Amino acid sequence: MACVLGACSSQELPAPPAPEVGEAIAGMLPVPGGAVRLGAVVHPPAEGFTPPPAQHPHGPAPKGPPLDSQGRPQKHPAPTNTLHNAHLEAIEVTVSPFWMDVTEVTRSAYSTFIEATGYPAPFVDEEWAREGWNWSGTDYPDDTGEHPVVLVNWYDARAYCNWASKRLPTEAEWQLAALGPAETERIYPWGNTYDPNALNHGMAVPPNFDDSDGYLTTSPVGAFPTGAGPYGHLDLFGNAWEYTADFRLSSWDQLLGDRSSGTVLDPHTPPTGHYVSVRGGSYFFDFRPNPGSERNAFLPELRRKTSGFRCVRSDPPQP
Amino acid sequence: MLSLLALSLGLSEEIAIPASAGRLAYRIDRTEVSIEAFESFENNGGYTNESLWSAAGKAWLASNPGGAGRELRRSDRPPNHPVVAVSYFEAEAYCRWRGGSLPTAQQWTQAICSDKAFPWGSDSNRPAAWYSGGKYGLVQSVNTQEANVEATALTGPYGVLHGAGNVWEWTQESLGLGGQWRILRGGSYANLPSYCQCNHKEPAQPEDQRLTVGFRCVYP
Repeated sequence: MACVLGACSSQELPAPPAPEVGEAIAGMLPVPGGAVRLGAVVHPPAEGFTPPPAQHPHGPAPKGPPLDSQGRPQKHPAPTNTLHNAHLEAIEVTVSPFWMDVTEVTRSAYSTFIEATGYPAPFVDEEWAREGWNWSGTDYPDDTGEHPVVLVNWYDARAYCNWASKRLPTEAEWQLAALGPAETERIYPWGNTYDPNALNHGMAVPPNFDDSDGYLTTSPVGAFPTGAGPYGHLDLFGNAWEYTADFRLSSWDQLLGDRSSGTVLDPHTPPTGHYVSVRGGSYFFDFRPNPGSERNAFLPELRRKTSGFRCVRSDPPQP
Repeated sequence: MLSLLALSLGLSEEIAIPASAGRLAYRIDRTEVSIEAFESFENNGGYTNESLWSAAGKAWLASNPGGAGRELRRSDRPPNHPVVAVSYFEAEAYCRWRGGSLPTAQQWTQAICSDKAFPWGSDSNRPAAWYSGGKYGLVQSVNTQEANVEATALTGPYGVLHGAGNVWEWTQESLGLGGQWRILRGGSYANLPSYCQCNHKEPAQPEDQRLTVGFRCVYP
């Protein structure tokens, strides 16, 4: 670390070196390989920002064992919630070069997928989704074709990427594209200083939505060009949470990958688990209490109004 | 009537669904298939008897010898919990081993809910085995004697248990222009009530071994 936790402000951190941005092909940009430090990282709050009381965007954070419908501890609770892998020491891994979508997958692109495959459109039969979120057949809400598709679960995202001859990024790939290699110690995609105009963010206090950036909820992809990541990808932080291919682990021993060279090359997780890793945050909530709060974990089946994704490929895309 | 052999293998009681509207009568497992019952299949040659596996199932089995999900299935769960982390192909082979098949969409709907939103009616506020209030629901044993009174009151029109919540259930119904997805029904302990409604259809790749997905069988 460039400074000890709490002993310096983020503005005193040296600016990370600017990497070279490659040439986009078919909406994808290359990411050179590199080292990534996986695991929760706690940064000092952004300059001039007083963290509010602890908040959890989806109700009180679960504490202790899960309870049954009578409020008693479950006899056979689901495995402990390993949100953020916060209990795991950071581990350094290595990622091979790959290509990543410049933007989150848009509703108009997802609509093409639905028409081509017969896959069901984003729809949740709950009150909150009725106004402005649910699709009507294959039609997304009016005038939002360039917004990221949300109301998709992890399986939907995986199905889209497979159809597009792509795949979901591993968490290590996502982090490399968003924050560059570990040695640069970058805190935000655009640098080390928080910039409220570089992303579609929310607020750390209720109602957690905020339109000071021009958008109460989702924004068209690429609306915040100054927030581009080290290799030119847009909206990595903010707008919609992005699914990764990885499930949360209770131990790094479960991490799969080539360990023959002393590091873990191209780490990935077993194909099933209780929580999937999501990154980047959304228009709901804010990172200033802790930039590391862009790491989260979702149940893979739930469709949220904040959950979107982008895809990657190992091979260069066809122009 | 449940035979002693069936009891010793942990097999489920079956419930008769009468013929209706030109459709044949059939029977359906009263509960989701338990870990114990699935292990009976596994220990009695289920993975080596080719006649139990469809062509697609054989192809899947060739690249997943022995099912590959054994660790996930067992974990440290009690034997009378519903088996999870089984692919569509494994569920299909199990039902064939039992002389049955996975339910069609019509069979599942009729036996679990008939024309209701939930097996017990329309009330989505019942404390069923699903995700609510920011908490996981309770994964319930398939054994009715251990299921609590509340859960027993949540049975469907024919007395079938856990049609909504607990674990998702594989059905034969396919989806997509190429039929590449199969349909899961009934939601799970990790889903909100809306996913556990009878009319909710969740697409899944048949090779997926999800921790929230099990199944039950139907018989002629």
